[in-house]
Amino acid sequence: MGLLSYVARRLALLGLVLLGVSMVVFFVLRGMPGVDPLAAYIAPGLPMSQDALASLRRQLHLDEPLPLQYVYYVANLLKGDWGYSRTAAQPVLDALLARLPATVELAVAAVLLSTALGIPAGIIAALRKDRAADVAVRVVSITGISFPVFWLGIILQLVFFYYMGQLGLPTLPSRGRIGDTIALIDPITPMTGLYLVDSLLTGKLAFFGSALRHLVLPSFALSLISLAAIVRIMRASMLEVLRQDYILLARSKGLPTRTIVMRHALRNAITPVLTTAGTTLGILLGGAVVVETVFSWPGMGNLAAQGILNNDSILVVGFTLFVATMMVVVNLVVDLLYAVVDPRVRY
Amino acid sequence: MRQLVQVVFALALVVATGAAHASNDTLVWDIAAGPQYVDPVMGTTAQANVMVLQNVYERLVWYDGPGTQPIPWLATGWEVKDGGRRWVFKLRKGIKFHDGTELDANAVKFSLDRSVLLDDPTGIGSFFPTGTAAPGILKGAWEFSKSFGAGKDYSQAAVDRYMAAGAVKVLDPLTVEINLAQPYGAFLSDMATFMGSIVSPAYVTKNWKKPTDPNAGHINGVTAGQRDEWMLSNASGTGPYILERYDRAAGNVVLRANPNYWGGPKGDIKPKLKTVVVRATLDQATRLLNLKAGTVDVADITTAAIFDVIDKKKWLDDKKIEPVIPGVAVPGSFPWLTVYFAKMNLKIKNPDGSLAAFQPFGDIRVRKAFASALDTADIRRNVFNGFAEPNSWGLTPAQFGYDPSIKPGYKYDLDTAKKLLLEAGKELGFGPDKPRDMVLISNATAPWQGYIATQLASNISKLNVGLKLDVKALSFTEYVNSWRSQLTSFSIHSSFSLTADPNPWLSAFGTTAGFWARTSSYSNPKADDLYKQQFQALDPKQRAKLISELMQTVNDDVDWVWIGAATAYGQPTFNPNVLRTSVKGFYYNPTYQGFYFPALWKE
Repeated sequence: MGLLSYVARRLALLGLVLLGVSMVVFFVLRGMPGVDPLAAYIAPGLPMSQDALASLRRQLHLDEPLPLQYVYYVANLLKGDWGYSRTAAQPVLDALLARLPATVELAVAAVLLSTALGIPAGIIAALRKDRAADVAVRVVSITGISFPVFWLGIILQLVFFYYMGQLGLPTLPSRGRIGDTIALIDPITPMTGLYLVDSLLTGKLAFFGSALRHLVLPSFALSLISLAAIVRIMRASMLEVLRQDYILLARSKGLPTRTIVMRHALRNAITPVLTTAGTTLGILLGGAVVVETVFSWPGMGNLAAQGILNNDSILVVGFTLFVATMMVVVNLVVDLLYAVVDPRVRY
Repeated sequence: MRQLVQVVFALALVVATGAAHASNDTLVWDIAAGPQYVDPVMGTTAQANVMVLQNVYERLVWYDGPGTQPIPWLATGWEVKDGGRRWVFKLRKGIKFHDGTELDANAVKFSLDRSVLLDDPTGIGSFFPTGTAAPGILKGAWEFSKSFGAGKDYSQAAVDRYMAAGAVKVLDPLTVEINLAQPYGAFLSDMATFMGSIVSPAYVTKNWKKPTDPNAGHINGVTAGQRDEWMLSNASGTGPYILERYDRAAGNVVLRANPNYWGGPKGDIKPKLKTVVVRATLDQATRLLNLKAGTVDVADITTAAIFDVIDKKKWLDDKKIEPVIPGVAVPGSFPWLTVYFAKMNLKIKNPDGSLAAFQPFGDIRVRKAFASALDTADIRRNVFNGFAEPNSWGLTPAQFGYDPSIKPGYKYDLDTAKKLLLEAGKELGFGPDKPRDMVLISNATAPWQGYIATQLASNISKLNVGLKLDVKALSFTEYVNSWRSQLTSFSIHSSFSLTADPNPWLSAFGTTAGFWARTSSYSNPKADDLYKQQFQALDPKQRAKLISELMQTVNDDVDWVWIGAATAYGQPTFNPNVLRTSVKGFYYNPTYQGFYFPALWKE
């Protein structure tokens, strides 16, 4: 089977997944007894006449049977009309896309951080199996994942922003994506929407520095979600590879351990780690709600949190669909990347 | 490896060097939600929107410091003609918009016509008077917008009809005439809200895209019934601050002091803060931490967290606000524009729209009894933490016409409640031997409502008069649907207004077409008539008298239970703000509830 037909098949599956998600989301939202879906379209307290309500209901097809409403809903989705968000005061899809780069930057940074920390830790744990270093790595990584993220975020803020500031030490920002006035002093032209990338491309180092400082705490807090998984998979996979005959051969040839691990074992052991990192990226793109809220990171998760507080169901549904889509797409990309990392994989 | 170490080291250096406290010419304000947009023709209940609008734009009339009577601002004065139907404003000379063009009568005409023609559903119509008793203010505006009615018409013909009605006329470059549909006593207060902001016509028109649809009605610069994408995130007014940068996705705003500001009506307004930064910081703990650390100067703090910043015991026992965080000041408490009340539905309906068989509140004795069974003093202390004052009508002391001598038609007295219910029960078919079930609803996301409903249910059930009350907490949408469609008998609410003028409130509670009255089928022709009279009254004294009479008439019908008028830190739509003690010059004006940045400075 060729690569193209594989991609085509996966894309068809993507369609099915999204159809399923949209169905669940739609019928949970509209099928709830006693809930008038019209309420989601009206700002609370806004005086509207019965006539106006009735005409709005007709316009939104809310007077049709439920399955027919679903058809209208899907048709609108496909047209790019995901509804209007009261919270963002703009169409849902526009609102999400405008905040996508911030979320991507944060999630990618978190995944890079957790792989950068997780792979060496996993290797060390594997090489020192059941000894103190192994136990320490495992305890730390499990502890990390066990902390609620919002709590960890607050602790990071307290330590690196508040207490260090009180002691007169350099601090890290508690919120946001960029310094308050740096964008005025030395603005960048948005290209990708990723601040780090854009500022490097345009050579704005002050902007880059500010963006990086703002990224440290939230990406670290977020990376702990995936760190434990990456450490454990790296460790297991490395142990598995180290038991292989060719490693024994390498050892008997008298190669130094460093060469054996880095040259021969790592490349073979790393595939499952990449899968995990990829899936994690998908999860983090959607799961950054809490971290984005704690650190006022202006991404999609932050908006979704505001939407939940505002009873903006249209936005929350749109967010759910969007995240589901990204998740499937990211998984597809990861699967395709296998072929690059591991020459044995063919589609 | 060595290169890697170098890179890491360099990154660490970049990260470690950083800004700390805001400098003395910059004010940083952390707020839960940033502005959604900055176009003044759209209404909003978000504090950040309003704060940006009232510092970037100006109006014909506004307020002098904490004063609540509008004074000439962009106008030098006005004449009232034709018994209040025609208002002629003289404009100040030489005022410039941020884009460099000059303020003139044409800009006033453009701005007001724009707000009518753009006809945003959140906009002017929802705040300025609507309903049968008061069909709009600007001549022809009601016919164009039909308020929230069905069958909107945004054709060129409709636009031309509005323009021909002559709502706003340019008499000469510095004189503008505004024609009203009827005399309107609160016209100046309405013009003083942010919705009366004057925008630069040149700026709007330059960035406006002519509609491609030939049927879309428009004038140069405004497409009827359609939001102006550019003006949602850009601004050009005459105000003391210029919108320097607005990141809509992040909700952050940077305002810069206007170096060419004309100085205000007395010529003494000169912004001292060079830069004002408004940052959306959703998480309250982060806002509080930033405030403690001193990286922000102002932060909004919700009611739930008020006792993180002030001493609880001192407030509840001695009514004294004592900040507990060093370096943080808590101004207040202030009268606020929020009231808490309960409404009794005179016509309870079944889900299919037919009338329910049991209509307890059709009988005034039952209404009086329920109102008498609510211990509002207990609620003000325990639910609103003492940040609510007793009120005898749905107005707050911050508003024109508030009259403390008005008497409610009830007082907390369970014996009276019992007597009334036993009497009424004989006719309505309930009694100690013939028990009847009733349901009180509350919004599950607003626990304070649950407390009130539970108190009432327990008080009434205790009376043993044959009414068994059950409290049901509904999801927000169910709750709204339930009282909006009149499915429920008794519901609890808070109501908030952006204008300090009592008009919207008088209409809502007192007139047949009013929002709250309509959803409980309350109607009294005498009240309707009084409302109309006060609406048209131009003499404030006479208007106040009519308002008092209207309020007493409505109170005698006992359809509303007045629970309290919020003071700042009650439970307003806007979160109140706490400041660093280094921020000076703050004063409170209930008509706009927030900051006029030129008044502030830092020490």
